[in-house]
Amino acid sequence: MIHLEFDSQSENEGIARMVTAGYMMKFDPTLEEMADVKTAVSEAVTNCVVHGYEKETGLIQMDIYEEDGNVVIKVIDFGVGIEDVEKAMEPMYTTKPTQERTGMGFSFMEAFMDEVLVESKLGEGTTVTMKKKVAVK
Amino acid sequence: MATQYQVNGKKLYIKLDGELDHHLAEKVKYQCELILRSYFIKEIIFDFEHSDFMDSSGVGLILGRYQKIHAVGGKVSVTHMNNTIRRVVHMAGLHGVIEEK
Repeated sequence: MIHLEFDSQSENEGIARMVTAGYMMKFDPTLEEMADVKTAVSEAVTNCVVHGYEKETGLIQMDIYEEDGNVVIKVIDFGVGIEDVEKAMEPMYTTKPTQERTGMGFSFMEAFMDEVLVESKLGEGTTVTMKKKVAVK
Repeated sequence: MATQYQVNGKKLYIKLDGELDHHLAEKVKYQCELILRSYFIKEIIFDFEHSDFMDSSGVGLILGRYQKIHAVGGKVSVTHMNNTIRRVVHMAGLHGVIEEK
């Protein structure tokens, strides 16, 4: 298992992807599987930076581990939380259209991973848990 | 190397360097807005030769530029996309509004 903690600054989005890619190597993934997981992580971490903490800098935690032939990635923030998770996950729904947020983040996570679970509490933060089958070949 | 911006007549070439995520998208958006204020641009060309990754923040960047330039009768093109980026472009429905070169 890998546990990573970093500040919610946009330059750390790339580090989160790099660490994920490094961990994925042990599954000998296809290029497509690698891109899928990297994209999903990028979306989840960007959400923490853009929405979870907005203008403040806070802590983002990321856990990556293997479970029953799945790679499991948890992305956790302790920011504002999501009022209505179901609404937030609707395709094209965004609270920040003026900042060129597309509302595609959760859709991308769902498209690229097998399972996406979002738990959130207002004022306490959000945890996104994503799973993808990556049996060792 | 950093992302390069080149104005050639009414065309703005953006040679991306690195993964087009939220971090890079914010920088490119800022530079792009500055250039569009100073030059009359009818086409923006995103060159992915030195970029092998894009997420929904990149989609937002391209869509945002499209909306601006489409309003003045211009267009947005992309070039040198790898399959990973092309897949994201298609998933987001961007291929309907941008031209691939």
